[in-house]
Amino acid sequence: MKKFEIAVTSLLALLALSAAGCLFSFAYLSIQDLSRQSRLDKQAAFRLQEKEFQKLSAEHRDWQNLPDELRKFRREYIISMDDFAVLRRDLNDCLAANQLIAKNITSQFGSGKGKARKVAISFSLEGTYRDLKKFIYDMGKKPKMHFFGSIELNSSAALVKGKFNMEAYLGE
Amino acid sequence: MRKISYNLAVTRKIDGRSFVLRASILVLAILALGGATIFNLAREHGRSRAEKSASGLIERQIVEKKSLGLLQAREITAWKKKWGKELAATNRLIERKSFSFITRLDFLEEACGPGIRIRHLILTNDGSGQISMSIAAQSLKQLFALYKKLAPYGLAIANETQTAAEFQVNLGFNISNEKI
Repeated sequence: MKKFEIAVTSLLALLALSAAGCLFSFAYLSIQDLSRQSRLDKQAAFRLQEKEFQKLSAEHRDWQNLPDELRKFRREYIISMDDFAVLRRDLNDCLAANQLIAKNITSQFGSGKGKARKVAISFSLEGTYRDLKKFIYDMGKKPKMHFFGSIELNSSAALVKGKFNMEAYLGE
Repeated sequence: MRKISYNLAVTRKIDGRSFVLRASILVLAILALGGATIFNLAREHGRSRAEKSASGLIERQIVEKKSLGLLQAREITAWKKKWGKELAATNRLIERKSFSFITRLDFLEEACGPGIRIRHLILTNDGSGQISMSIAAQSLKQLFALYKKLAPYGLAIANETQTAAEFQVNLGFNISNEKI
């Protein structure tokens, strides 16, 4: 009889132990789920940070490439003295092509010693509105860094008088 | 006379078969609970180990990227200081080069229908795309139709004079590159 009692007690003790262990494992799972949630939050925050890093890296790359880009821009668009001679010839060709005559074309060279020196070119024209518009279009098409700073048009009878201020940027 | 029998044992007599059956049920329950515990803990352990290693990797990456980000931000600040002015000047040149007088003239041709004549026009290549003009309109209706078209462009009417034949107006407005 004593043996049976010991066996029953042992079995009951083991049952209690395993039930407690099982309860503990479920509680542990719940706690781990909570901590997993915090890890997931951390991961989500990291993903956000990752986007910020990517943005910063892209900006960094842009700034890193900037000196080359600026050099390329100066090489391709800023006018050299040779280009300026071409521009003056182009201007005259463009005027002739649109049946326009400029009485005075004045060029004022800026004294700045920067990387691009401004040259202000001004002249007056008289012609039909269509010819003047075509002239503006033709000059605007050219890729080098010159453009009209301002245009003033006065209509008188059939013709239009125009005052044109151009700017050209000369490099070293 | 009925025979009376006494069980003089200290404890009751145990039925062996019944005991084995109950003990087996208890053992099975113990095994089931133990198995569930071991399964739960093993699964959680595996998951948590994988997640912790991923999380550790992420933390290391955050630390690395933070230090890299700081370095990059510092370099960007230095570059901005060095190249900022030249960049702004270059962007300004590009903006002015892309300024289209033709588009603005086209707009004016479309806006000033028949009955409106532009007498004087100044177009300026600046950021705001400032346009000043003096016009003559044959009728009030045509004039107000023009005002209506120019209203979204910050129309400012300087003065308006009505003569016998027409209405003369000096006005200004802005057509920036973004608006065309």
